[in-house]
Amino acid sequence: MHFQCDQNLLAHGLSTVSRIIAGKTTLPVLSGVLLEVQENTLFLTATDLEISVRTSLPVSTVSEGSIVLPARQLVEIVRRFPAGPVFFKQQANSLTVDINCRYSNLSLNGMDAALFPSFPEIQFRDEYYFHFDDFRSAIRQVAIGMASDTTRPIFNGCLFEVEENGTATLVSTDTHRLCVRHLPFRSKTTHVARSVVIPGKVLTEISKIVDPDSDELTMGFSDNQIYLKTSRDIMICRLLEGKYPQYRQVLPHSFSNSITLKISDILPAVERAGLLVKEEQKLKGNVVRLKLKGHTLSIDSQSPEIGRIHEEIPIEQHQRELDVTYNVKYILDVLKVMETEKIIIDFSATNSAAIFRPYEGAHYMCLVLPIKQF
Amino acid sequence: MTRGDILLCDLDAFYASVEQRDEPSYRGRPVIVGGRPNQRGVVSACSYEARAFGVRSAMPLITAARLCPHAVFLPVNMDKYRRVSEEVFHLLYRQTPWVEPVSVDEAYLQVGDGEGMEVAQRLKNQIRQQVGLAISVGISHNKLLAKIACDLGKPDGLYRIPAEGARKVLAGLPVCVLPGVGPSTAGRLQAMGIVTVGQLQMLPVSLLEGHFGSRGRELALFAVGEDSRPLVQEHQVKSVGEEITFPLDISHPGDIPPVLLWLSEEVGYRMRRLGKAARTLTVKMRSSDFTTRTRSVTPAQVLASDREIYHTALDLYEKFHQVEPVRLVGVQVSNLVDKGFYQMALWEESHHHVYQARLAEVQDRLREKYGKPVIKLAGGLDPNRFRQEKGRYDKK
Repeated sequence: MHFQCDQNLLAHGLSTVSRIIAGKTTLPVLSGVLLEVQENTLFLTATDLEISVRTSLPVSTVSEGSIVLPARQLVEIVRRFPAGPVFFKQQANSLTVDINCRYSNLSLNGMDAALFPSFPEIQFRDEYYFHFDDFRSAIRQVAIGMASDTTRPIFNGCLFEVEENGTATLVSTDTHRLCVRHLPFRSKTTHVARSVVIPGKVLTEISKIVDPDSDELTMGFSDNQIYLKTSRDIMICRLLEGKYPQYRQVLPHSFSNSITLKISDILPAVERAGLLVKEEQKLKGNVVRLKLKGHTLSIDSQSPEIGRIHEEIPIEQHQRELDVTYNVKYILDVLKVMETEKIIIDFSATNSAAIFRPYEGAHYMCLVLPIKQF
Repeated sequence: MTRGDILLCDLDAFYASVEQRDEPSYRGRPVIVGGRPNQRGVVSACSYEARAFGVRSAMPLITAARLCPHAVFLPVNMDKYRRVSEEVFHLLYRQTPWVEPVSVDEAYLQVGDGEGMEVAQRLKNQIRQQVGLAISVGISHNKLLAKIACDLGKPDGLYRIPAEGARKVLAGLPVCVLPGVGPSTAGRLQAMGIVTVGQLQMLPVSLLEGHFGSRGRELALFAVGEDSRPLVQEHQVKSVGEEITFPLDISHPGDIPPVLLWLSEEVGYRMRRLGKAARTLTVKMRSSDFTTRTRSVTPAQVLASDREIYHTALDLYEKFHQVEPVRLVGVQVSNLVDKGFYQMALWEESHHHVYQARLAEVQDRLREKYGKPVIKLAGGLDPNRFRQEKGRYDKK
């Protein structure tokens, strides 16, 4: 293996693939990046055995070949190389690669490429095309609802539904809140109804990828796998198995109150209230109390050790009296991803769940269940 | 709890009573625990029969042997006394979480205002029946008077000093009954012509302050039965646990769930009395070959009711895949938080948790009133198996 490439492109490619490499791994080869040179292209591949990610960049090739190099050292050193050409040359009959950039000379001991897990084979079919920025915004809005504990793996994923009429819906829930986001897409085939659960991690990782040449993201399904690709990068991972709960059943139909607010009014007020809750009290409920009466929304929070805070926000529409307690983190999470200046909060008549949605458009909603006292 | 009755519970002639309990031939005879009569060393404890001959704790064994040569002299078997002590404390903690251990055989308890007599009577019965020992209990509204009441009632006493009678009761007692009055202070008081607490009561505080400094003021307050020392609990309760060693190892897996239920109810009751709910639950299993395994879980929701604890414990138990006969089963809750908040969840009986909490509250109140569980979950009621065995369980 002998080639030359651009430092900037290489650093970018390495940072794209190395992100998913697990910090601790029992298989040493998984802590490495697979480099494969074919014709004038370098393919970089990494995997944590759940998600595999691959990117490519143009190189000038002297001889083809492949090797696994330690990811952490390679990424961090290449990132610190000066801009300009970088030369890779594998020593004859050895797994050592000499890397040279301007006055810097590095020899890295690699591992046999044959040890690296093979990249899943993909049959490209059933593809959906999304506007990348819109996709990123959607993931940001549903990511807050995905569970992070591993007690019920299905909730670590995101339900992806395509209906025959051609809208995609992303749903996430940790049972305490529920996010629903509609997302437009293009497709070359006629729409087939589909309902799958995508691991949350692959969605958040793909939305972190920066690809200036690609304002479109392709999502495709191959057997029980999903792949997501831009013009340069591809991520592939297995879909989550299991039954996603019927989310439509739990959406409230009747509301006791509905208020319209500016994010710039409510977000700082809730943030201030949240500061009165000590970290260790989060176990207790981490609560903030919302009260509606007449033309006022009041927000209260208190901590026996620190003190108390009371905030008031004027509301245009006259309100019936309401007094509900929520986890302050859940409220903050949703307010931070609303993306519109004006929002509506509806309160369910049956259980006082709060539903956050943009003032204009019906593409997003987030339902937050209250905290009951006993 | 800030106000209420204070109990001082003190096991009578503890070490000696344990020995008499375990060896019927010692009963009714003077028993001296401490070592052989010809050994150097002192009396650790002596039975009331030995006390009749003038034998006292901390007396050299040789002196004791001279006073009471026909006594049974026994070595100190601390391991045994500690085990018995644990059984007794276990019963104390089942009455109230507000327990201040003073020593292996002595503890202060705080209970609700006016509940003292009832709790004391119950404790005396339980300790007599389940442990086979006599305990003296003194009741009053502070530690000083509870201690004095206990001493006045001994042996096997149950004595209460009401607030209004405190001054009078104290007046006739020697000054050394007051905390902090040892031989040295007593000597100095005697030099002033003061022998009884009654005499002390008559002295002006300023005079006592002149002689004893800041302690003088405390002394004056003690003399009239005033004591503001709070109950000192060793540490914040971090966990609540209960375990059972079976008289015979259990090899039928179906026998374990009723035991888990009983343990869950005990743990749940004690935890709720502390005003707590639990984040973490641990189940412990010891097999007949003494290998001990534990499994823990921290569910998304806090555990508050017996039912929630039981179902979580049962889930954990199933994960053990226990095949060996079981020698011991334990249930423990830890990571305790103040109960009071419940985050509602989707796809869940929305008020289920709140109902459970209310049910538990009713159960607890009834249990407090009658001193024993009155309503229980049905699984624990199987009379042929469970109730019968419960009495035989050797609780640690």
